[in-house]
Amino acid sequence: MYTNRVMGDRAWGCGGERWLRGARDASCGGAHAAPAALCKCASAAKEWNRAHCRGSQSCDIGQKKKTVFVCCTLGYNTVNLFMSVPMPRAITASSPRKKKQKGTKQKKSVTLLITLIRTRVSISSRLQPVLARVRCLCWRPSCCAIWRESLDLSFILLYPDLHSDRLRRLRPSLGTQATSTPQRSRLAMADREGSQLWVEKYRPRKITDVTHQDQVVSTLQRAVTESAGRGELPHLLFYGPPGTGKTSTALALVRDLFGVQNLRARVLELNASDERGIKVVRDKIKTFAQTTVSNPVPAKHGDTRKYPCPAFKVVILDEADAITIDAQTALRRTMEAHSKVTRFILICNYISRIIGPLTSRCAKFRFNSIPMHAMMGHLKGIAKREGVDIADDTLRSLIETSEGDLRKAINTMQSAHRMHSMTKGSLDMDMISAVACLIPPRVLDMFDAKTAEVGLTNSEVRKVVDEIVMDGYSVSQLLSQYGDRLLKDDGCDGIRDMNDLQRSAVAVILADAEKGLNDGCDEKLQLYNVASKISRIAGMKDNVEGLLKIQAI
Amino acid sequence: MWIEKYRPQGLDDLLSHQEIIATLRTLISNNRLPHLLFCGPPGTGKTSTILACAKEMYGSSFKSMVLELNASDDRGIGVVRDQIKSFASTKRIFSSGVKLIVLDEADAMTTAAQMALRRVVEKYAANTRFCIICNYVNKIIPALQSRCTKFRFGPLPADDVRKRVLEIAAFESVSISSDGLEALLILGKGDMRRILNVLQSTHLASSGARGGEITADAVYSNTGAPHPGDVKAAWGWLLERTFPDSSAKLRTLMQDKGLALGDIITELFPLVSTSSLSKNAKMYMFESLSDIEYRMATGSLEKLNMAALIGCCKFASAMNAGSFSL
Amino acid sequence: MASDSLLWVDKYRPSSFDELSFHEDLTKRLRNLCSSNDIPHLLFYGPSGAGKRTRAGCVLKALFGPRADKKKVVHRVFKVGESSKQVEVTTVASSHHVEFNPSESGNNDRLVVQELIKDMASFAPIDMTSSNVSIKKSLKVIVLHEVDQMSRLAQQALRRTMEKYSRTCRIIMIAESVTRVLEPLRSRCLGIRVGLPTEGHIQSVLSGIAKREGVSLPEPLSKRLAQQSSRNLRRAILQFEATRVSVGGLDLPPGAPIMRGDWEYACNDAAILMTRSQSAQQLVHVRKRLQELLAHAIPPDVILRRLVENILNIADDEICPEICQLSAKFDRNLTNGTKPIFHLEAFAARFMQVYAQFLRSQAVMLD
Repeated sequence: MYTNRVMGDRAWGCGGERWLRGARDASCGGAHAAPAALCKCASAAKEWNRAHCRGSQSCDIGQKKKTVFVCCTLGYNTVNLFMSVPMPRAITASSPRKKKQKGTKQKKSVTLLITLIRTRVSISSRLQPVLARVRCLCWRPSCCAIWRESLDLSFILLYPDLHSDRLRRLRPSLGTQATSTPQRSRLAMADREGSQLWVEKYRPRKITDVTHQDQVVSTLQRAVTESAGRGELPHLLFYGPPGTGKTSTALALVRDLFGVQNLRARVLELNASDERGIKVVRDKIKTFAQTTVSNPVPAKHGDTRKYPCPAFKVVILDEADAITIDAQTALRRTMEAHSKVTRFILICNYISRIIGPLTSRCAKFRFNSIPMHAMMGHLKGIAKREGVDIADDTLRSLIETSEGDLRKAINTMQSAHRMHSMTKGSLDMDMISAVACLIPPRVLDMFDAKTAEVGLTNSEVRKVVDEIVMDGYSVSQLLSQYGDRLLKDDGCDGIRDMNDLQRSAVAVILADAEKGLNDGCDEKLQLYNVASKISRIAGMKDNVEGLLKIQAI
Repeated sequence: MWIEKYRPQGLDDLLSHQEIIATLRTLISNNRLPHLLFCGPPGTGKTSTILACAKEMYGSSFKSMVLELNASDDRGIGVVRDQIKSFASTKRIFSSGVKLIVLDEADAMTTAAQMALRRVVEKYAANTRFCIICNYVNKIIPALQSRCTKFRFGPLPADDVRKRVLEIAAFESVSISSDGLEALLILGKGDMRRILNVLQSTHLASSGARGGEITADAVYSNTGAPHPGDVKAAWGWLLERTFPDSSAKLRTLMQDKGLALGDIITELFPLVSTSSLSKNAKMYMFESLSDIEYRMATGSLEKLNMAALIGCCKFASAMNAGSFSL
Repeated sequence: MASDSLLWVDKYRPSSFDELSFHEDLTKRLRNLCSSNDIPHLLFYGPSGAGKRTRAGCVLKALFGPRADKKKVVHRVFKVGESSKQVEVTTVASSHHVEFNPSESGNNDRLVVQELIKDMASFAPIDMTSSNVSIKKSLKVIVLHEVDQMSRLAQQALRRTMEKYSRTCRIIMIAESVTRVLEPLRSRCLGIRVGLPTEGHIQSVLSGIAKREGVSLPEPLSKRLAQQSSRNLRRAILQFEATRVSVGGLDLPPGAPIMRGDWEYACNDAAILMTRSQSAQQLVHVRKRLQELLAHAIPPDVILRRLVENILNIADDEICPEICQLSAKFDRNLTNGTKPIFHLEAFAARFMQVYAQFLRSQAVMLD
């Protein structure tokens, strides 16, 4: 099915009937509009059609009165009403017996029909998937099995007025070749003045600016001053939780080594979202690694620092855990073979996701997560310079929600500041939650209290769930924040009253539901399940057997 | 790099697998070398063996009689058709004996390339021998497998490894404590290359520190693997402490040492088997651990799975105490 | 009727902030945002029919003025990699913005996203005549619909592209479920949650439309419409229009029947069948309904959800937790599997078994 393309990456549209989506423009021909006859339901539609068509056989060409009932879908579920669309000439009749005519001819006629339908839809809605199932009583439904599936399904009422709101066709612009725009790496971007993101603006430029990674900084400084000059820098591997300065350090390091002017020639930066399969390793990285080093470009005017600019090049592989195992294997040979001319800097979150041979070729540097007081200091500094009014404990809860990730915290603060720049008063937790797609504390409290309330009927619990889903909150985020409270013994009475075993049962249920959501299951159903289970658990204080049974999936 | 420096040069220098070496020697001396298929876990001497054989067979004309292709070279079906074929079909003037083509890391070759290869293997068997090196023999198509003689290289036995490591340590003047050595062997799991790499990088990392002796702690922190002592302590907390307590302690452990939950679960598994829990509790623990590992592998939130881990440990201890069962 | 063929949903869609009638605080915040010098990347999320697209359109209008309303439909064709395959994408463009739906291109969405954005961002903006050189005037905006249906690779590519081209273009993403949007993507945007309107809001919108159309909408009918729409405004307006058409004329009686989708009736039928009696024979009937629903291309998860909701409304409160658990389990199987009919039928069978047991135990207790 088309579900879950985030995690599963399964083939799109497998199984089931296939529905056409968004057909190309085809010539509308000179169709004439006939007044609509709207029928209330399928049986009446059948009657109507029978009255107007000769029997249930194929509709002949040239009979303009022949109509087709179309149920169309647009956006979400609404209503289906049949409408009659006069069949344009170009649609060839296809009687169920003439199976040979299936295929391209049918496709074309279906395409035409879709185009006709699309002309009714206003431009702003045109991007919603339009699915047309030609419910023509002349055609058997199974003939229509050539269309791709649509994502959204609904039924809509359409007016059969073809003349107004005609589709304006432009000549389709020819395919754009993949032009190679100059690769603007983060190096170049960060150097440009007026960069709008605070994360980029306040990114440390020199290695010494990186705070709270003392061991790393001192070792690297030594490396830059002493060994790099002699060409003895080993391959490096930076690992640690996200937002702790790994990429910044790598960038600062190469900047300190080569100076800004040499970066493009000497440094290749590849990120997880760039192509990094085994082919890229073989072509791009290998080619870059093999070419000899160019002469260093002299420093810009005004830049008086002397860069060691040793005689090697650097390849920075960011988010190296996302490189496939095959590509990593291929990479290790490249690293070995060209280690004289090229150094690799791998950046990842978990060292266990990089294969052994690669990690053993590198010098490893662990980046610790930045402690609370350091982050407070950073954020306060940025807040002062950008004029953000935020209280200390709001800042503290902001840092807690970012879970040790400085980048996330800065981004959230910037977004909140932007969103509420006109409102007076300081930022509060509600605003921050709104901006960071978090669940605000009061919603979480309500969920907590209601599910743990003993004696609540199931329908009331479901009402709570309905409210939450209808308000658009992310269910996965809800589970995650609820899990936080469980672990930290926070929260209101609901969780606080639970004993250890109850909590354990809830924990297992949460993890399972989150996996389900990850796979792409329906949020509402999973949350119903979780809520009803929690409400049962709340009543089972000492019932170990019952708890065991509930959490057994 | 030490692995290159101390790579065995001749067949005599090879550590272990003496039976394989003896067989190979006999085959070479009788000039009846078949196509070879070396399989086994990494770092056990497959590439070294074949290179040593090749040196023995060809001596100085090594370079022209041997074609070596590994995973980082393009080995698609095009290369098979052109490069390998052209190498295989020519015969060097004034030389007797067969040429050798070494395909290293052959599991990365596509099935199509392997299919194309098998015909080449057959056709030019007169003057070429193939040596296919792989980690997983089931990734080589059966057609190729049947054309070759299979030699399985198992993980190196601990004693041989220990001896060699101490030798190398002496050469490089690295001082290593006995528990450091044991930790190295456990982590290495019979893979000589990995052991040497870990040894070298730990040496580099601790060369700034005082004394420069390699201890077990240094080894574990260098590889990012959890220290067994830590995991044991964690297991104790999970069973005995309250829910919020154990979660706080586990979290501090993971943050301080930079461990992933998956690493901890891998190490927890043997502890569960050898623990003193009741049978039902153990069964329950195994099942839950596997569920957690499955969820983590597909990308679930680590936080919730950590909570689930604590939860199922609590249930296990409750089952143990009260002899409940599912 | 002949002059305007637009649906009421589109005809009365608010195009500027002043016309929006609910979520006032959100409107205020958006106004603030648009009046500042620069806007960040935006992510509108919320359930369907809440007004995300409308608000995105209002933002565009506030930024670029009435020019943003002049839209054209453009078909772009892209080449896929080295092969000669071509991917076609329908986009709607004005002089300042481009909108399209990346998931339309199926497995090639990553390519489409990268190419299109690269294209957009590398050309200078059209509005060079404006003397006002504020940043926002020189920006191009790309609106992406249904971002949560994009594949993970495409989302990662999008993230990188956003970073690279953040000087010249801004991206507005519209997603239904924010869970399926990758975390890095979420953190690069300002998240704007658009919740569903309350029934009161819906009623006021409907009465507004009724007034402008010259249709009389009695209060009980409007209330029923609001209730039946389950707070989905688009649905409410469409149902309103359908009711009006089915009745004909401008005077709607309070008891006018509200049309629902065929498939909704079918789901309801199936649920009633399942709860009324439980046997193998009954299962065959239920299966027929389910197959019909699937044949009409109703997505299976919608079927399951609707089925479960109907059942939960009918069944006793005591059995509901079990039903929730079953539904979650079969929902998982449905998502991971490839043949939906198996899982739907399995759910029906299992439910009937559980329900039958429950009814029997109730009967025993009563005796």
